[in-house]
Amino acid sequence: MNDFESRLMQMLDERAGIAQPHDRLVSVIDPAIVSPRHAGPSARWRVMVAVAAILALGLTGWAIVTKKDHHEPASNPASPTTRVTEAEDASPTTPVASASPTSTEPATTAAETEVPTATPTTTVTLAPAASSPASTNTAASIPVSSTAETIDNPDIPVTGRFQTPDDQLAIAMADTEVDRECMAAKGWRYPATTAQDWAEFGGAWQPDAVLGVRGLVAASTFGYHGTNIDDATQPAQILFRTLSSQEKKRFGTDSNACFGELTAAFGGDLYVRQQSARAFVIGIVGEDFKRMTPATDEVASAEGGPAVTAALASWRSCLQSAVGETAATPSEMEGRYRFAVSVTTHEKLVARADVVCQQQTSLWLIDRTAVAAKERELMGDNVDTYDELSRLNQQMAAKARQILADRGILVPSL
Amino acid sequence: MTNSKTVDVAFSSFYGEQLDAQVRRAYLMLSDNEAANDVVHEAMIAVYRRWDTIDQPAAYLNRSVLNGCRDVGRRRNSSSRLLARIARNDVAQPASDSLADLLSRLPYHHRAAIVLRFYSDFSTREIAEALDCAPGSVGPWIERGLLAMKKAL
Repeated sequence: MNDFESRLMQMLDERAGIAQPHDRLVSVIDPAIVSPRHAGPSARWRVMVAVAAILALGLTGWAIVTKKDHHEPASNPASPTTRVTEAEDASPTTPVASASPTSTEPATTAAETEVPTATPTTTVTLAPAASSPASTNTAASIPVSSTAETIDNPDIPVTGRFQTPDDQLAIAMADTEVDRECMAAKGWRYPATTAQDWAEFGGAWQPDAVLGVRGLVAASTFGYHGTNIDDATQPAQILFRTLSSQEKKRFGTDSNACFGELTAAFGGDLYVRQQSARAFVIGIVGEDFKRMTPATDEVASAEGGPAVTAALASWRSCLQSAVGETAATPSEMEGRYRFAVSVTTHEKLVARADVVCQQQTSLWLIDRTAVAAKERELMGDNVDTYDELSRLNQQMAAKARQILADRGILVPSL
Repeated sequence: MTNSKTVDVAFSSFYGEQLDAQVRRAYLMLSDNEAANDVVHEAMIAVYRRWDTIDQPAAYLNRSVLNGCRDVGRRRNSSSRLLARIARNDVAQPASDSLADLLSRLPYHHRAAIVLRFYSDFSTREIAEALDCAPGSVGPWIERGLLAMKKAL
């Protein structure tokens, strides 16, 4: 081993020493913790222990798990009235505030909805994002019929645990705002995240087997070089890196204290139950272990079912008509462009057409409906946990919108 | 999966043995404590669910965590420009962390191979197993990664 390698080892050891492992064993091995409504005194006690443990141990990592759940592309309503253009003036200048930022209307459930039938689209019109309709709860606004590829529980959304992109964005914004307020009170100044940045974040590409870039603002700004601002949604992370070692220690202490306020703002019990259920469900369906878990192969096969297959065919036709090129899936389309050195005007045009075609074919809703149904099957005896997570996700979104509304903050259109 | 007390005890022991090293290694890959904890715990849940059927849970966990790091890293790459813009607009530019910067600039396989070799002290065979690749790939990845870091330094 030479000097450089010795130095490297020492540097790695020192850096690894900064990490703070969080003991979350209780949420790994005990799914009962997430279903207190079915639980007796013992399970309720475990919930209380978990809350206490999180607060006592300062598990700040839990505060960002919600943001890390932003894997589902959006499906905003598309304007059918504007012309296709490659001109840069088609790019948005400012995001449009949501028309109903205070809405707490629950997502449509399986009992109320119909699965849309994807129809081939031959013309596409690309509205500038700034003039597109305000973002809404897609699951609630698109009719869905009951088929074999939908969830058979009428009490939960047809898209199961998948939150609409707008709901995801609302939660991320509320998290950040509560944290920012708390830390500001302790003397820490955070950079402001603009509405444009939030809109880009909410509509940016996320890893997914089928779906790709999901918002017109993100597509117009970054094309397929979409941003996923995990860190940018946490200004604390940015500020943290500017601090000295001593300041970092104090910051960490204050941040841990603010995590308590964050869980309280969402309702401590709700927050813990949602995070625990999410961890358990993700662990089973294995989103992040696609190459290793049979369960995920089954989920992938759901996305190849008749409804999704038809929707994808419509999307392909739509995109071909609009820009003269297409791909098997939006995810594949994204892969063709995103590794290029820089974004081109043409790439932005294609990305915008991609998003519009996803919207016109209801691809997000159809795909998430099928995947949710499959995931729910995979839960087996733990299906109650899946349903509980679906309900908790709705509650979290409603609470987030309330937090934002109380502060006069609008959720930008994607 | 049998949720028996025996399994819970065995898994709890495994969890205790693995948590610290896995999170620290994930942190080296991601430079983000929260993300490292999340990746490790999602992998832990997968292991727990398959505890009865996995022959080598530690090896399974290694691969799961590294796969998770790769996915997080991919998402993060696409966000770097916006992060830079926010940082430039609103706060002083973050102080450079040379090792983190150098590691983050390496391709995933180069970075993982270097962390596994020089932090976790894995053999070539163990690295190949963890990264699900041919052992012959490991050496070149390490060499190229080291070369890139030396040049940058």
